[in-house]
Amino acid sequence: MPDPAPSVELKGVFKRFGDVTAVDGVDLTIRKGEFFALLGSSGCGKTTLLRMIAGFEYPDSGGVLIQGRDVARVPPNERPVNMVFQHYALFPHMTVEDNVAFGLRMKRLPEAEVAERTAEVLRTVQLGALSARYPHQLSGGQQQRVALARALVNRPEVLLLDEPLAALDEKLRQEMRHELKALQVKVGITFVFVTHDQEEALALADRIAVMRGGRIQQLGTPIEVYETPTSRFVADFVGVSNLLEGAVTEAEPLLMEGKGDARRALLDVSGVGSVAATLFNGVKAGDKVTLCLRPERIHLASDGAQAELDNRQPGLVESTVFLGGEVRYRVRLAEGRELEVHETSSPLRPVRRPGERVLVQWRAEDARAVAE
Amino acid sequence: MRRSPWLSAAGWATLAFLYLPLFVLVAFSFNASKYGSAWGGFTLSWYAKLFSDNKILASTWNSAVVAGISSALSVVMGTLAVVARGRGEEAGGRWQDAFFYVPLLVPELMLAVGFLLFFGLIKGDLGLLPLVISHTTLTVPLVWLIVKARFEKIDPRLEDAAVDLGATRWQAFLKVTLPLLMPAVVAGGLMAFVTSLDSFLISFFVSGPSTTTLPVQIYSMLKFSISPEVNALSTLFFLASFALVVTAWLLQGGEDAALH
Repeated sequence: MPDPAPSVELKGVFKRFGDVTAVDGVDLTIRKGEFFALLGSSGCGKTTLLRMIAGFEYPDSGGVLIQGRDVARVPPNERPVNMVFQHYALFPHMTVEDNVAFGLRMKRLPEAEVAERTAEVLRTVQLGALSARYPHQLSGGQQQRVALARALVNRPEVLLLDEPLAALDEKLRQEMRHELKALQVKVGITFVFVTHDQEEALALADRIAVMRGGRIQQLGTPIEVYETPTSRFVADFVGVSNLLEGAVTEAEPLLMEGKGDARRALLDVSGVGSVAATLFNGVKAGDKVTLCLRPERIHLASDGAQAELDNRQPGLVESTVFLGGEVRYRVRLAEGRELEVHETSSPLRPVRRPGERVLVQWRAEDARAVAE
Repeated sequence: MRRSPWLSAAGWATLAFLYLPLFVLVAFSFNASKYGSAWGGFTLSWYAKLFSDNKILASTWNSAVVAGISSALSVVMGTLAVVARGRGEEAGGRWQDAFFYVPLLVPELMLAVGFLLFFGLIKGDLGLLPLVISHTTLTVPLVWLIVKARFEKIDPRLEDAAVDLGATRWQAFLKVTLPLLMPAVVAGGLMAFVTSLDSFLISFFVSGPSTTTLPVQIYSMLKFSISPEVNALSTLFFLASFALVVTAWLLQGGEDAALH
């Protein structure tokens, strides 16, 4: 079977507001049925991009294609996309049912079909019992489900979500992540969402575009973005990283299948010393690099224990934070550099006290160097 | 914290101060004695007399027609002005705001003199038209002020959401923004109606012998003597205004919960 046409294609899209370039040349293909995240901090252009797919903004140049049709200058009401707005924008003077039926009534479908499809989608989001309520009589989570139902009932090609979970409290947000993911699988519609919360992007998306300054910095699955950041910015923005400046002293190709142009290298890192690491993106000997070291990939062993991993350094525990499932340490290496270290708590592993001498170690493949 | 009884007494005293003249008016409208301020027993005859006085009936009709038409016009014009101005904070919009406020503060006498001159330029009998036009001028800023206050509370994303769901901009306005504005539109209309009814100065300058409005009629009756008939008329007038203003006030307060 040939691949279906992509849901969304952006081709060389630019958008300026006055002196500010909001979107600075974005090319992007979003596949059919994909759960896609546009991730970045405020002002990175992610919301403008979403509004251009919705039709609320037109690009200054470039193409916006939905199902292969260029809609760059088509108004929102004529595009096969629907949006879940930040804070939901439910119509306050209409019941849940009338809110959900709004899109179908605008299409002038027969009232019997409107009633049937509205009831069906309200069952899907488990709000059937509340159809006669008004939005202000609902909780935040219920309001969000109404907003989802109001958009999904139109069976759009693409569902756009603007910070879908930002208005919910922490506990509900965790719950809605699971619900949203399950819903997307169930309805099989392409979801594109905008978020500033990297954890949310990792949790929900099939693929993530990390944005900065109106451009896409990195595009990949959550695992790719987390495990192999291609820039210092992405390593810092997605998850927690120890970012260490250094220079490459030696590099040799790493002959492993599926590792692309990865190479094993020796780095000279200030405050740490010589580090065995993995290089990406054509970095060569003599180059200045940033070493990204995830806190959970650093392991502590008792002072004097047998070293097992490629990199090992004596260190001193500076502080310990016990979080139940996890223990977070600040450890100062003998050469002076302080590292953030996270360990899963376990009865088999001692919780180290501040002042304790430890052996700090990590694998070369967990130490990733990117060009600075 | 408990409020001091003196403070609450002061509040009631202020209210009494405000309403005392009205109580006197209402009481004397039931006074059987025709002259002076002596109480001569209870009667409804002054009210009965009102309804057989052709001049009063004619001026009441004029007032109602002028208030009805001018408030309807100001509702349409005021609401359109608010929606057309939108939410932008550009200099153009800010200047527009200022110019809408000014007529509310200009002494009515100035407007009245202006209209007297203006209609003097036009020859011929225009009937109630000068009154309708001048009252509309007086009440548009009022409607504008009330509708604008509500418009600013409506989330602009609601209209975007309607358009996203397939509505045109015009349909989005009719189905979403207008229903949400409605309490303010009705309240503005009622305030405009009362303002037109109560307007004396402009009406006095602009009306002709055949287009006397109620306040002008009352004034001309007072030129001869304070008759109890005027008291009865003013009492009814006051009650009508009071009912309209309270209704408008209730409409503006209600449904705000729904906007948030």
